[in-house]
Amino acid sequence: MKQAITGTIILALFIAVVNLYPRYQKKYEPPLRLHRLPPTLALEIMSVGNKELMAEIIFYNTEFYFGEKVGWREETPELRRLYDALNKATDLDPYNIDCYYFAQGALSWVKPAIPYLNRLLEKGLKHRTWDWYLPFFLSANYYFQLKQPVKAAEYLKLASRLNPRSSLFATLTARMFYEGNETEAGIAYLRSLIKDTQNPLLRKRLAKRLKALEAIRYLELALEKYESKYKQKAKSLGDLVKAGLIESIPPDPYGGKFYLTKDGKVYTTSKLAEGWQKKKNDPDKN
Amino acid sequence: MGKADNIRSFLSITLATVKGGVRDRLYQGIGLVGIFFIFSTGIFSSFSMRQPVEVAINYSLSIIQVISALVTLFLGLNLISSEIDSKASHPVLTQPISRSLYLLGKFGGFTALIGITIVLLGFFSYLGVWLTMAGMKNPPDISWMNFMISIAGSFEACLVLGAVIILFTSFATSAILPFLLSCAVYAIGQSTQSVIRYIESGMAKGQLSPGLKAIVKGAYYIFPNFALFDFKVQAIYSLRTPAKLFGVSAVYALIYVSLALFMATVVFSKRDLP
Repeated sequence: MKQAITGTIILALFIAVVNLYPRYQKKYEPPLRLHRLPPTLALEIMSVGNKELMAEIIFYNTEFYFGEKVGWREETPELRRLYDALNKATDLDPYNIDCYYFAQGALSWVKPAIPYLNRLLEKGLKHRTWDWYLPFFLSANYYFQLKQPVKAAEYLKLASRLNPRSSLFATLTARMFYEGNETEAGIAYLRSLIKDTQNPLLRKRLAKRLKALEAIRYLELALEKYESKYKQKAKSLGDLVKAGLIESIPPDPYGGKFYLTKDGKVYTTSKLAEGWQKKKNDPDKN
Repeated sequence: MGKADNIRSFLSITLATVKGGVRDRLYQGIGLVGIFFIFSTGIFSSFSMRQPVEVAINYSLSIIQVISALVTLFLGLNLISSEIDSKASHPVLTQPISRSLYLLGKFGGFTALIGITIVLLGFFSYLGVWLTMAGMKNPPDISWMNFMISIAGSFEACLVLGAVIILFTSFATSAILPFLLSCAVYAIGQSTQSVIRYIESGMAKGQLSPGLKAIVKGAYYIFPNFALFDFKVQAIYSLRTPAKLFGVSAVYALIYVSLALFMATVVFSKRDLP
């Protein structure tokens, strides 16, 4: 009897502690950081012959960090550190598509990160010679961010050669290189990515970007209507509301405000970007 | 003693060693690990974004490598050291058989035990990967042949490590020294190739003195190069495994084992036993 009472008390205390500690943990939690990894050679030695597993564990670490930072804490992730980690993981296992895929999902919206991201993807392309995803990603980065359509076309051609059955390339090629509308091409690209992405957090981020591009396209179409109706270009987005072409200016999902540049393009104060910090040192150096 | 007697003695020592391993409940332990394997493979690979099957194979083969190395270490250390400590080897060694035959018989038993261990682990890991694939709509093509080659690579590595442990136990008076030396050899043997490649790539220019470079190069040739037995990347991504490379690794293992066992028999034959 005595034993049963003691056992019940300990169990009750255990349940209480298990329910209480997350509250305190959350209250006193230190800031979430993605720590700098040791050099690749050290990581390889530490893996004791399991460098592919080490690469996947590094990827998991960055994935969980990103998930907690962005999805749970709703903070801006340290994308520079994230790139460093994925770069080292792909040095250990250059075939690991998880790393390339995640890098594209997290970094391709940040213009200063693009040269680094492209270098990472090109490393992958050297090894995964059969994988159409990598040239597809490179093509998008060259087209949308670096504004190099010729280079983008080369990679898109390679992607379509590696996956000739996909109708996606025809749609994208048409949008990118013939119809000449970057926003529509971006929308087509994002829709294809969303369709193919299983990770809920990445899907959410892609959907956010798609929503922003759709808002931009909505404004661009209204601007075209304005021009054909009044035979002159609108001076501001407010003109579209005044002319009754749109009810209101849609909100920017990134928290910025849409505005019209002097050359008549729709831009946003948020620049649709977050999280990349410039650093003096070259991240490729171990 | 005739040739037939030698073979009979060798086989009886081998069989006794295998029985000893079974008596020590080695395979019950492996069975438990196997159950862990089957369930954990799917959980571990579920966090992958684009390559869950590849991650399942990666995880399985890495776990096989780690567990088989640990089993080799503990099995190898118990082969001779503990028997000498407990004087269990005395009835055998007082028989009209040579010490080298005793050592080779022990290694034969060890080979059988580690072989069965790896086959069992391979079977459990196959189940784990298969279960991961079973839940998928379009699982990727897997090269099971590469999977088996990679497991065979782990077996080769264990044989080399086992021979090195026997060499150390042949002269050591306690189990601690061979344990520490074997761990060191395993760690060094796993990394010499990476270090040599790093040096040769020119990235270490100016960082290392010529003397240190010579030491690293020496270590590369003296210590077993375990990277040669690593065929995981080919198995994970279904890349072509050149038959020649596997052949070279098998020949290397055979020669290294022969050399280590030869040295062990020489030392053990001259050793004064308590």
